[in-house]
Amino acid sequence: MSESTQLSEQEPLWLRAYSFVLAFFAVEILLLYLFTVRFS
Amino acid sequence: MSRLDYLVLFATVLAIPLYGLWKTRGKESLGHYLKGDKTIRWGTIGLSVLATQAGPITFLSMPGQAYESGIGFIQNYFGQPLALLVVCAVFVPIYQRLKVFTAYQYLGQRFDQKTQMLGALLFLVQRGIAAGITIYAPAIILSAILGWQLNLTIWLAGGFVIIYTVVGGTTIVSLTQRYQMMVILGGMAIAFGVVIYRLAPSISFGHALTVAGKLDKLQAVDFSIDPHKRYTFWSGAIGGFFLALSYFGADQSQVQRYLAGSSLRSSRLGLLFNAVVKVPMQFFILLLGAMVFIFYQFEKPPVFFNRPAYERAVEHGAGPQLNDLAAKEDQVFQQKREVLRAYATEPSSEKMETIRTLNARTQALRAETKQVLNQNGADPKSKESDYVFITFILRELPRGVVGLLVAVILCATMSATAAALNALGSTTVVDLYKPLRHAVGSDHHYVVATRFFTAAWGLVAIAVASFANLVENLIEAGNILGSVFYGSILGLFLVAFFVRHVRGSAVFFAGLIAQAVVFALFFTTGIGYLWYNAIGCAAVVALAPVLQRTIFRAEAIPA
Repeated sequence: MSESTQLSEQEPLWLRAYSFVLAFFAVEILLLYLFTVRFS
Repeated sequence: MSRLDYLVLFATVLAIPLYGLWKTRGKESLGHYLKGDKTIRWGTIGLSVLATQAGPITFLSMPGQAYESGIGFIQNYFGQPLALLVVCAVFVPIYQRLKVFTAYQYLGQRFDQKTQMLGALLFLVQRGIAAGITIYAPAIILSAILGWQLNLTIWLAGGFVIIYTVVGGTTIVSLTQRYQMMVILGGMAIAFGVVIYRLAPSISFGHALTVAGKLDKLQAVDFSIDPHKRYTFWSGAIGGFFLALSYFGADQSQVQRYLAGSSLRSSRLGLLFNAVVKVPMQFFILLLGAMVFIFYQFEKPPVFFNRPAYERAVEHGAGPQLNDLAAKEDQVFQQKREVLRAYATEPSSEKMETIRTLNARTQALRAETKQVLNQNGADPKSKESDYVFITFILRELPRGVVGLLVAVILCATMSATAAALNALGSTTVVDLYKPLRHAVGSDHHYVVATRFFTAAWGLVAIAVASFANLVENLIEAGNILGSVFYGSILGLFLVAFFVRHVRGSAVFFAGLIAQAVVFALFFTTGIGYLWYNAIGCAAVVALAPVLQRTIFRAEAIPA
């Protein structure tokens, strides 16, 4: 199997990883916002 | 510092590079020297990328920044996770597929040699100066506070890094960064623990947060759309996105870190690790600064944190004036502490209002002190806030831990400088020396050349550090310098990836014009510096197709 085929087969897996990181980041921002509201 | 502190300091600072030299001995090929033979795993890449970006300024100046202005600086990192996702999805696969040694080699393959050289030159100028600031920043502060000689500190920190980077190349840089980052994170966690422990008899952590919030230190997110405000959600998310995209996608000091990965997967996981941990790590460092601020509401802080500058003003005859101000500040401090103690046992809005009023009076008195210092030629060279954290370390931490924390600062200097020198040497050889030499050399020849240029750039960085005379906050200096150059560099890459019909000359001149526009804006306007990243990048992306369709139409190749 060529390298490019392997890469394209793995792309959906990476998309899930990116979505997870994105969701994690959104939660970080939300928590920082709540922190700001609570302590100012 | 005690003998124990010096022992801890030298053991920590020397042991890591010596271990690295032992681990990487006898590796001679160019591939190994520039990319580490692609054996480095994702955890090491993640820590190495984190260490390259952090640098001494992060750990020395950032708590002081929070002490003075609050934790709003965190917003500068809001664009970073998104940028890292784009780098993972677009940049890394292309670099890995083309098996390039530097990011600018890709520009040479996609456009032409002059565009490759333009990208490389913009990087070399920016990173060469930035490496000097990285060495200068801790040296000026450590020499002032510990009484070390400035030039000796610069030469010791810079010289040692030059030696191990020249000998070991990329592998030693990544390897040492892993352990240096572990020391840094451990040291900062201990400092955080100590400040909370020392606060405990006076105020609970919860009440400390409430007081810090009421004194405007905990505004992490600000949705203001005022472009003159330096730290807002929008400038951080948009300007910070372009800064981070350019930094991680097109700055060789970072590209070299993740290209050392054993596979595409390793490179991507290392970067995703950074996307997840960066914001919490910066928050933790800034919160440490805010807690140091609360600590100094109960323990009397120095009248001026940059003690040598204060003493120079006294020598210039400002003693009586400064003593008068110190006496007034002491009086306000005592009053404020009493009210704070009362608030800690029984909180009320009236008490908080009194604390706010007294805090405003303290700020005014400290501003007056600063003015007296300036009038008397004390020449503080860097902002007072840069001296806050190191003063806290030396005055309040237990023996041994002081040495560890100073080691944290030196480890951060060494890790960031090593990555920069490694990248500067590689870029000079791959993007300038090799193309201009017009002759094929052996691997050994290029390894020797890379070692020579790495050492030469080390000497340039030391020269910059020796002649640097910063007036801005040290954190700002690095970010401003990056923002001025990064936009144009990123523009070159975005055109390469996404605007297929544009050829070399159009993008080359678009890059030059964009850089000139950014310089003009920098010298004539006062807009927040993060916006330069977006402006420089947008100018290249907008201009290149226009130049392609007009002046350079003859060069176009039909799609």
